Amino acid sequence: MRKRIRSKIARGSGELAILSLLEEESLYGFEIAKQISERTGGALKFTLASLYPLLYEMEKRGWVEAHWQANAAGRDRRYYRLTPTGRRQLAPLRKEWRSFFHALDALAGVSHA
Amino acid sequence: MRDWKREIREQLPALELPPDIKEEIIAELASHVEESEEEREFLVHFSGSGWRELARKIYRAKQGEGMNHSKSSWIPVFVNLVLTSTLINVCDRLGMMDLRIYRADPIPLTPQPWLFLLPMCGATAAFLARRGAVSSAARVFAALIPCVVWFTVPLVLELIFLCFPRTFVGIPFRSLAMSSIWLLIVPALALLLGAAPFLRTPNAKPQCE
Repeated sequence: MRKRIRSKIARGSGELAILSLLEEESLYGFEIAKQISERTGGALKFTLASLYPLLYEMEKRGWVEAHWQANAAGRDRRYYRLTPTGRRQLAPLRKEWRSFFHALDALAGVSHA
Repeated sequence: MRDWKREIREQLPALELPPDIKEEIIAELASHVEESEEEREFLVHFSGSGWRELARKIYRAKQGEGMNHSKSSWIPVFVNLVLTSTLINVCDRLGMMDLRIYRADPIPLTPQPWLFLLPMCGATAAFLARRGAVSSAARVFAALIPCVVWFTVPLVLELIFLCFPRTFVGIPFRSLAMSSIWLLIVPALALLLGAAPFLRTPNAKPQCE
Protein backbone atom coordinates (compact mmCIF):
# COMPACT_ATOMS: atom_id res chain seq x y z
CA MET A 1 0.00 0.00 0.00
CA ARG A 2 1.49 3.27 -1.06
CA LYS A 3 1.75 6.07 1.40
CA ARG A 4 -1.02 8.63 1.25
CA ILE A 5 0.07 11.68 -0.66
CA ARG A 6 -0.56 14.89 1.20
CA SER A 7 -2.87 17.38 -0.37
CA LYS A 8 -0.85 20.56 -0.57
CA ILE A 9 0.93 19.61 -3.76
CA ALA A 10 2.00 23.00 -4.92
CA ARG A 11 3.36 23.97 -1.56
CA GLY A 12 5.17 20.68 -1.20
CA SER A 13 6.78 21.01 -4.62
CA GLY A 14 8.06 24.44 -3.66
CA GLU A 15 9.54 23.14 -0.43
CA LEU A 16 11.29 20.29 -2.22
CA ALA A 17 12.60 22.57 -4.96
CA ILE A 18 14.03 25.07 -2.48
CA LEU A 19 15.55 22.46 -0.17
CA SER A 20 17.14 20.64 -3.13
CA LEU A 21 18.74 23.84 -4.40
CA LEU A 22 20.00 24.86 -0.98
CA GLU A 23 21.47 21.39 -0.49
CA GLU A 24 23.98 22.33 -3.19
CA GLU A 25 24.81 25.88 -2.08
CA SER A 26 23.60 28.93 -0.17
CA LEU A 27 21.47 31.22 -2.31
CA TYR A 28 19.45 34.38 -1.90
CA GLY A 29 15.79 34.78 -2.87
CA PHE A 30 16.24 36.05 -6.41
CA GLU A 31 18.81 33.34 -7.21
CA ILE A 32 16.49 30.67 -5.82
CA ALA A 33 13.62 31.84 -8.05
CA LYS A 34 15.92 32.19 -11.07
CA GLN A 35 17.52 28.76 -10.68
CA ILE A 36 14.18 27.02 -10.15
CA SER A 37 12.82 28.63 -13.31
CA GLU A 38 15.93 27.88 -15.37
CA ARG A 39 16.42 24.31 -14.22
CA THR A 40 12.77 23.37 -14.75
CA GLY A 41 12.63 25.06 -18.16
CA GLY A 42 10.14 27.57 -16.79
CA ALA A 43 7.70 24.88 -15.65
CA LEU A 44 8.08 25.95 -12.02
CA LYS A 45 8.11 29.66 -11.39
CA PHE A 46 8.17 31.62 -8.17
CA THR A 47 7.10 35.22 -7.85
CA LEU A 48 7.94 37.52 -5.00
CA ALA A 49 4.49 36.84 -3.56
CA SER A 50 4.86 33.07 -3.59
CA LEU A 51 8.56 32.68 -2.77
CA TYR A 52 9.08 34.75 0.36
CA PRO A 53 6.13 33.57 2.48
CA LEU A 54 7.34 30.02 1.80
CA LEU A 55 10.96 30.86 2.63
CA TYR A 56 9.92 32.60 5.86
CA GLU A 57 7.82 29.65 6.87
CA MET A 58 10.67 27.24 6.20
CA GLU A 59 12.92 29.53 8.22
CA LYS A 60 10.44 29.53 11.09
CA ARG A 61 10.37 25.73 11.02
CA GLY A 62 14.13 25.70 11.20
CA TRP A 63 14.63 24.05 7.80
CA VAL A 64 16.67 26.96 6.47
CA GLU A 65 18.54 29.83 8.08
CA ALA A 66 19.36 33.21 6.62
CA HIS A 67 22.13 35.75 6.94
CA TRP A 68 23.01 38.98 5.16
CA GLN A 69 26.07 38.82 2.96
CA ALA A 70 27.40 40.77 -0.02
CA ASN A 71 26.82 39.09 -3.38
CA ALA A 72 29.28 39.06 -6.32
CA ALA A 73 28.19 42.60 -7.23
CA GLY A 74 28.94 43.78 -3.69
CA ARG A 75 25.30 44.30 -2.75
CA ASP A 76 23.93 42.94 0.51
CA ARG A 77 21.59 40.02 0.01
CA ARG A 78 19.88 37.68 2.44
CA TYR A 79 21.37 34.26 1.79
CA TYR A 80 19.56 31.08 2.78
CA ARG A 81 21.31 27.88 3.71
CA LEU A 82 20.05 24.46 4.66
CA THR A 83 20.07 23.52 8.34
CA PRO A 84 20.56 19.95 9.61
CA THR A 85 16.79 19.86 10.26
CA GLY A 86 16.12 20.91 6.67
CA ARG A 87 18.52 18.28 5.40
CA ARG A 88 16.60 15.63 7.33
CA GLN A 89 13.38 16.79 5.63
CA LEU A 90 14.76 16.19 2.15
CA ALA A 91 14.75 12.39 2.11
CA PRO A 92 11.08 11.97 3.20
CA LEU A 93 10.01 14.76 0.83
CA ARG A 94 11.76 13.11 -2.10
CA LYS A 95 10.23 9.78 -1.16
CA GLU A 96 6.80 11.36 -0.96
CA TRP A 97 7.12 12.92 -4.40
CA ARG A 98 8.40 9.67 -5.90
CA SER A 99 5.31 7.93 -4.48
CA PHE A 100 3.15 10.68 -5.92
CA PHE A 101 4.55 10.25 -9.43
CA HIS A 102 4.35 6.45 -9.19
CA ALA A 103 0.71 6.80 -8.17
CA LEU A 104 -0.02 9.14 -11.07
CA ASP A 105 1.88 6.86 -13.43
CA ALA A 106 -0.18 3.85 -12.34
CA LEU A 107 -3.35 5.82 -12.85
CA ALA A 108 -2.69 7.83 -15.95
CA GLY A 109 0.61 6.60 -17.38
CA VAL A 110 2.11 10.03 -16.99
CA SER A 111 5.71 8.82 -17.38
CA HIS A 112 4.86 7.46 -20.85
CA ALA A 113 2.88 10.49 -21.96
CA MET B 1 16.55 54.58 -9.94
CA ARG B 2 13.28 53.85 -8.19
CA ASP B 3 13.24 53.58 -4.44
CA TRP B 4 11.74 50.09 -4.14
CA LYS B 5 12.10 50.00 -0.39
CA ARG B 6 9.93 53.06 -0.02
CA GLU B 7 7.36 51.76 -2.52
CA ILE B 8 7.14 48.34 -0.87
CA ARG B 9 6.96 49.93 2.59
CA GLU B 10 4.04 52.06 1.43
CA GLN B 11 2.27 48.96 0.11
CA LEU B 12 2.70 46.93 3.27
CA PRO B 13 1.22 49.06 6.07
CA ALA B 14 -0.88 46.10 7.16
CA LEU B 15 2.20 44.02 7.93
CA GLU B 16 2.19 44.40 11.69
CA LEU B 17 5.51 42.94 12.72
CA PRO B 18 8.22 44.40 14.96
CA PRO B 19 9.92 47.28 13.08
CA ASP B 20 13.30 45.56 12.72
CA ILE B 21 11.76 42.40 11.24
CA LYS B 22 9.48 44.41 8.94
CA GLU B 23 12.38 46.50 7.66
CA GLU B 24 14.44 43.39 7.01
CA ILE B 25 11.57 41.93 4.96
CA ILE B 26 11.16 45.19 3.02
CA ALA B 27 14.91 45.32 2.32
CA GLU B 28 14.87 41.72 1.09
CA LEU B 29 11.82 42.19 -1.16
CA ALA B 30 13.28 45.43 -2.54
CA SER B 31 16.58 43.74 -3.35
CA HIS B 32 14.67 41.03 -5.21
CA VAL B 33 12.71 43.57 -7.26
CA GLU B 34 15.88 45.55 -8.09
CA GLU B 35 17.38 42.46 -9.72
CA SER B 36 14.32 41.18 -11.54
CA GLU B 37 12.91 42.95 -14.57
CA GLU B 38 10.09 40.40 -14.65
CA GLU B 39 9.20 41.09 -11.03
CA ARG B 40 9.14 44.85 -11.65
CA GLU B 41 6.62 44.34 -14.46
CA PHE B 42 4.64 42.02 -12.20
CA LEU B 43 4.50 44.61 -9.42
CA VAL B 44 3.16 47.30 -11.75
CA HIS B 45 -0.02 45.22 -12.03
CA PHE B 46 -0.04 44.08 -8.41
CA SER B 47 -3.28 45.33 -6.86
CA GLY B 48 -4.04 46.54 -3.35
CA SER B 49 -5.64 43.22 -2.50
CA GLY B 50 -2.53 41.45 -3.80
CA TRP B 51 -0.35 43.41 -1.39
CA ARG B 52 -2.75 42.74 1.47
CA GLU B 53 -2.66 39.03 0.67
CA LEU B 54 1.14 39.11 0.58
CA ALA B 55 1.23 40.94 3.93
CA ARG B 56 -1.12 38.34 5.41
CA LYS B 57 0.98 35.42 4.12
CA ILE B 58 4.23 36.92 5.37
CA TYR B 59 2.65 37.75 8.73
CA ARG B 60 1.44 34.17 9.12
CA ALA B 61 4.79 32.75 8.05
CA LYS B 62 6.70 34.96 10.47
CA GLN B 63 4.18 34.45 13.25
CA GLY B 64 4.35 30.68 13.12
CA GLU B 65 1.52 28.37 14.01
CA GLY B 66 -1.43 29.07 16.27
CA MET B 67 0.28 28.25 19.55
CA ASN B 68 2.86 31.03 19.30
CA HIS B 69 0.20 33.49 18.25
CA SER B 70 -2.07 32.77 21.18
CA LYS B 71 0.93 33.04 23.53
CA SER B 72 1.78 36.43 22.06
CA SER B 73 -1.80 37.56 22.54
CA TRP B 74 -2.49 36.26 26.02
CA ILE B 75 0.78 36.89 27.85
CA PRO B 76 0.35 40.73 27.75
CA VAL B 77 -3.25 40.34 28.96
CA PHE B 78 -2.13 38.15 31.85
CA VAL B 79 0.80 40.43 32.75
CA ASN B 80 -1.49 43.47 32.72
CA LEU B 81 -4.01 41.80 35.02
CA VAL B 82 -1.28 40.75 37.46
CA LEU B 83 0.31 44.22 37.41
CA THR B 84 -2.95 46.11 37.95
CA SER B 85 -4.15 43.68 40.65
CA THR B 86 -0.84 44.11 42.50
CA LEU B 87 -1.12 47.88 42.10
CA ILE B 88 -4.64 47.92 43.51
CA ASN B 89 -3.58 45.75 46.42
CA VAL B 90 -0.59 47.93 47.27
CA CYS B 91 -2.59 51.15 46.90
CA ASP B 92 -5.37 49.71 49.08
CA ARG B 93 -2.91 48.74 51.82
CA LEU B 94 -1.32 52.19 51.69
CA GLY B 95 -4.74 53.80 51.93
CA MET B 96 -4.42 55.34 48.47
CA MET B 97 -7.56 53.76 47.12
CA ASP B 98 -11.22 54.27 47.85
CA LEU B 99 -12.98 50.94 47.56
CA ARG B 100 -16.41 52.37 48.32
CA ILE B 101 -17.24 51.64 44.70
CA TYR B 102 -18.27 48.15 45.78
CA ARG B 103 -20.48 49.45 48.54
CA ALA B 104 -23.89 51.01 48.51
CA ASP B 105 -22.83 54.60 49.18
CA PRO B 106 -21.92 56.93 46.31
CA ILE B 107 -18.37 57.17 45.07
CA PRO B 108 -16.59 60.48 45.52
CA LEU B 109 -15.71 62.20 42.27
CA THR B 110 -12.14 62.93 43.25
CA PRO B 111 -9.03 61.80 41.40
CA GLN B 112 -7.63 58.65 42.94
CA PRO B 113 -3.84 58.29 43.20
CA TRP B 114 -3.79 54.73 41.84
CA LEU B 115 -5.18 55.97 38.53
CA PHE B 116 -1.97 57.87 37.91
CA LEU B 117 -0.02 54.60 37.93
CA LEU B 118 -2.28 52.89 35.41
CA PRO B 119 -0.59 54.30 32.25
CA MET B 120 2.49 52.30 33.24
CA CYS B 121 0.44 49.07 33.21
CA GLY B 122 -1.17 49.94 29.87
CA ALA B 123 2.24 50.73 28.41
CA THR B 124 3.70 47.42 29.62
CA ALA B 125 0.83 45.42 28.12
CA ALA B 126 0.93 47.20 24.77
CA PHE B 127 4.72 46.96 24.64
CA LEU B 128 4.64 43.20 25.24
CA ALA B 129 1.84 42.79 22.71
CA ARG B 130 3.80 44.73 20.09
CA ARG B 131 6.87 42.60 20.76
CA GLY B 132 4.67 39.57 20.15
CA ALA B 133 3.72 41.10 16.78
CA VAL B 134 0.00 41.03 17.46
CA SER B 135 -2.44 43.40 15.76
CA SER B 136 -3.25 46.92 17.00
CA ALA B 137 -6.71 45.76 18.11
CA ALA B 138 -5.13 43.01 20.23
CA ARG B 139 -2.75 45.57 21.76
CA VAL B 140 -5.70 47.79 22.73
CA PHE B 141 -7.47 44.76 24.20
CA ALA B 142 -4.35 43.79 26.20
CA ALA B 143 -4.10 47.33 27.56
CA LEU B 144 -7.79 47.69 28.46
CA ILE B 145 -8.49 44.26 29.92
CA PRO B 146 -8.23 45.33 33.63
CA CYS B 147 -11.05 47.87 33.44
CA VAL B 148 -13.23 45.37 31.57
CA VAL B 149 -12.72 42.95 34.47
CA TRP B 150 -13.19 45.63 37.14
CA PHE B 151 -16.45 46.83 35.69
CA THR B 152 -17.75 43.32 35.14
CA VAL B 153 -17.37 42.48 38.85
CA PRO B 154 -19.89 45.09 40.24
CA LEU B 155 -22.14 44.39 37.28
CA VAL B 156 -22.25 40.66 38.04
CA LEU B 157 -22.63 41.42 41.77
CA GLU B 158 -25.56 43.69 40.99
CA LEU B 159 -27.22 40.96 38.94
CA ILE B 160 -26.76 38.49 41.81
CA PHE B 161 -28.18 41.04 44.29
CA LEU B 162 -31.17 41.61 42.06
CA CYS B 163 -31.84 37.90 41.92
CA PHE B 164 -31.82 37.61 45.73
CA PRO B 165 -33.40 40.86 47.00
CA ARG B 166 -34.28 39.35 50.40
CA THR B 167 -30.74 38.22 51.12
CA PHE B 168 -28.67 41.07 49.67
CA VAL B 169 -28.94 44.80 49.48
CA GLY B 170 -28.29 45.79 45.87
CA ILE B 171 -25.81 48.43 44.76
CA PRO B 172 -27.81 51.61 44.08
CA PHE B 173 -27.99 52.38 40.37
CA ARG B 174 -26.42 55.76 40.97
CA SER B 175 -23.41 54.03 42.48
CA LEU B 176 -23.28 51.63 39.57
CA ALA B 177 -23.39 54.49 37.10
CA MET B 178 -20.64 56.28 39.00
CA SER B 179 -18.56 53.13 39.12
CA SER B 180 -18.75 52.96 35.32
CA ILE B 181 -16.87 56.27 35.38
CA TRP B 182 -14.27 55.21 37.94
CA LEU B 183 -13.87 51.59 36.94
CA LEU B 184 -14.37 51.77 33.20
CA ILE B 185 -14.01 55.15 31.56
CA VAL B 186 -11.29 56.84 33.63
CA PRO B 187 -9.06 53.71 33.97
CA ALA B 188 -9.56 52.99 30.27
CA LEU B 189 -8.32 56.46 29.41
CA ALA B 190 -5.35 56.08 31.76
CA LEU B 191 -4.44 52.66 30.35
CA LEU B 192 -4.81 53.89 26.76
CA LEU B 193 -2.64 56.89 27.52
CA GLY B 194 0.19 54.57 28.50
CA ALA B 195 -0.44 52.18 25.63
CA ALA B 196 -0.65 54.88 22.93
CA PRO B 197 3.06 54.95 21.99
CA PHE B 198 2.97 51.19 21.36
CA LEU B 199 -0.22 51.00 19.30
CA ARG B 200 1.44 52.02 16.07
CA THR B 201 4.27 50.12 14.43
CA PRO B 202 6.81 52.82 13.64
CA ASN B 203 9.03 52.63 10.59
CA ALA B 204 12.55 52.01 11.82
CA LYS B 205 15.61 52.93 9.81
CA PRO B 206 16.49 50.10 7.41
CA GLN B 207 19.45 48.12 8.59
CA CYS B 208 20.41 46.58 5.30
CA GLU B 209 20.85 47.97 1.82
